[in-house]
Amino acid sequence: MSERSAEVGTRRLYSSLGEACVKIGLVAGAVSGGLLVAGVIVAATGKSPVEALHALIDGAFGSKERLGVTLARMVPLIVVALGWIVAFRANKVNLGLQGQLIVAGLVAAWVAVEGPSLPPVLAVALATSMAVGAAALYAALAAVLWAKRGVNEIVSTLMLTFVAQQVLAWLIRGPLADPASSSFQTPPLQREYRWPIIISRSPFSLEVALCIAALAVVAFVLGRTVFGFQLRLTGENPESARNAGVNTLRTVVLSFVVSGGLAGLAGAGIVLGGERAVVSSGFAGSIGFTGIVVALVAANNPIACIPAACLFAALDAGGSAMQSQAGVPSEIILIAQGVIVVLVAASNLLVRRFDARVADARITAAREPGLHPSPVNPDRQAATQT
Amino acid sequence: MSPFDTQFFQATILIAGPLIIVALGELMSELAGVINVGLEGMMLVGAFAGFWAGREVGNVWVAVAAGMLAGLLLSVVMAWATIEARANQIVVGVALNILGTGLSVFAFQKYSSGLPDLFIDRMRRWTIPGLSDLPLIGPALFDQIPLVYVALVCIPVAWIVYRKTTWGLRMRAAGELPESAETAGASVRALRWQGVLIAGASAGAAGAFLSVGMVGTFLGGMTAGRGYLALAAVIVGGWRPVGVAGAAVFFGAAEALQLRLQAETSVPGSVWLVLGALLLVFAAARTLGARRNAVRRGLAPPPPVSLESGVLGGLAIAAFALASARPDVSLPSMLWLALPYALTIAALAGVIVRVRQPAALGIPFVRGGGA
Repeated sequence: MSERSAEVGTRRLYSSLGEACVKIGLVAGAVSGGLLVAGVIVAATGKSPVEALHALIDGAFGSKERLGVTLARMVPLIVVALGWIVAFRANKVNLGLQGQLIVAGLVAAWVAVEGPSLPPVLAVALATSMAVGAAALYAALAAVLWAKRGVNEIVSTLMLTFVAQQVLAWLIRGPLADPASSSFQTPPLQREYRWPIIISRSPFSLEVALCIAALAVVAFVLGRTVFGFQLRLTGENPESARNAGVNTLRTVVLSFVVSGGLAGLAGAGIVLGGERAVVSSGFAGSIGFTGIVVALVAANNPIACIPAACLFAALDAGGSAMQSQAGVPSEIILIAQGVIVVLVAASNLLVRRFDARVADARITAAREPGLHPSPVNPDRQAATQT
Repeated sequence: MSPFDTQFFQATILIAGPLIIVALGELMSELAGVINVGLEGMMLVGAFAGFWAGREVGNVWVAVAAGMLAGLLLSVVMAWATIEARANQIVVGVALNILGTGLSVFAFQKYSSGLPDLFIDRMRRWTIPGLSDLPLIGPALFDQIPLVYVALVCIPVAWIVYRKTTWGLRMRAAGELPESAETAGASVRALRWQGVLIAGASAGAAGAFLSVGMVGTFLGGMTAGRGYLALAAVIVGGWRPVGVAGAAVFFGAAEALQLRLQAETSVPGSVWLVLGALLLVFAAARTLGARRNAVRRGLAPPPPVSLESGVLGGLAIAAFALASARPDVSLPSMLWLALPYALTIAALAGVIVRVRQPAALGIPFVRGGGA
């Protein structure tokens, strides 16, 4: 009998390994699909897709400096994706990551410009923490309006993003404008008031340490702590969460605060450690939205955000090289990204079918005499809901 | 000089036009249970397709049709991914925004290289004789490009569909209680497909409205957040056609006001006056709404002057004081642009009768239940 349960255990291990393989395979298929669509479009416009792909890969990984750019662009994407995941665990949508990121960038630039009286290390620490705090508060505004007044969080976070964009446009023309510059931007930060560079002649800086720390903390909190469990319970079944004594309103507000704080960490990082030392109208790009799709490609798993962000950052960094070397407009990258995300989202269909088969197999296995039926794995339920 | 003149109202309705079209389309989609964050991307491909067809064919109506078709095609992806593959609606929407931005700019760059100029004939205004001479609102409602009339006609059409037709009722059922819609013999899947496709075609038409009707060329990112604004209009409007259109007009008015005030050195007194009046109306509506709610529930009516109405009244008085004092303040135009968004949040936080979103909004439907 023990032999038999060992056999079933092995079978189970294989099936969960198989499951992971299937999911990774699907994402890989989606990525190939996205690149294929982009390649067909490139070919249709009379350029060589092979040459374009070569330029893309060379632009993203071709040299130490280029690798540094790709890595530097990965960092904010990972952190924003973590922000989305935290709120999404509570089944809440934080569409305002972009706005929270902008607020943080502004605060960081302001503190770092005003802070030269402080020792540089202190100034960077202060700028980061104040930026994170401001972004967390900005997100908390939406969360509290939801909790107290029932304001739909999708609208409030979007509206707050628009407000942040306008405030940014105003500040870089007025109060925070660089008098020495003809373009609208904040004064550039001094080198010593930014994160130390890791890869020379590239923007990749020590700021990555904060990103890794955030990743580890989020993965630990979501997976191994009571708060992480309460978040998931609140997200999946608020009623039973309340019955179990969870203060669901507080949990959701907290998840938003953390989510906004992470967006703030990304925003501060762009200013204090990114490619440009100034805040201009487009300094945030659309990282606040791209981070969301990174989270999706990572199936809302914090660790899987690393390869997913690597993919998007490489596409982004390689896109401009592709434009200059192969003469293909870099917007083709956006097309590839969009197709990849839609395909990943749609591949849920296949995952679900696979899950159903695995579940069937388990039920069959459980019916064998002498074995206890296995409880349904909550992980899998969460995965199918996304 | 008062900014609230004929030109202001005319600009308000013109700017609100595309918003009305796309927001009413999105309303249909959300009623059926699918929230479409990808409107921005669909508007952008619609704007480019309209520009392209307008330049190639030279007919504005063909251009609008091309815009609709482009939006429709992108919404097929949305419908398939969210309804058939049951993917997360928000994430697919965000992805479609990325895709739409990429597609429109890529196609524009490819198409425009080698063209001598990038302009197309804009749609001409149709002036309705007689009615357009009405004071104040005449030009706003009767001296506009035809697409504005289309937008205005969409409002009663949407209202009739929502209130009076079986199909409208079924759409709402698909979004509120899909099981009951199925029990009644409707196909939730089909209804949701219809809703998403309508939203996509509307977004495409609204995009063509921008490129063909208003600007006369294509610019990357020319929608400037209007797709997101439409999403907000649906929610601010409480998922009701007239409310949604009203919210769209409000956003249009805010942008038109900002355009007028950009050139002014100080805020005209009449702006403060209107702000004060709006606050008073809002306070009165809230007080009356609370009273009516209490009466309906058989509770004692609340005191006529609550803390909230007091604060609102105080703000209104302050606004009137500013109107008479005419202080020399000028807000930067960027902050005027931020004002409608801040007001939207304030309005949602203080809505008179709490509205509820369709119960099954965002939730994939599986016939027979289970995942």
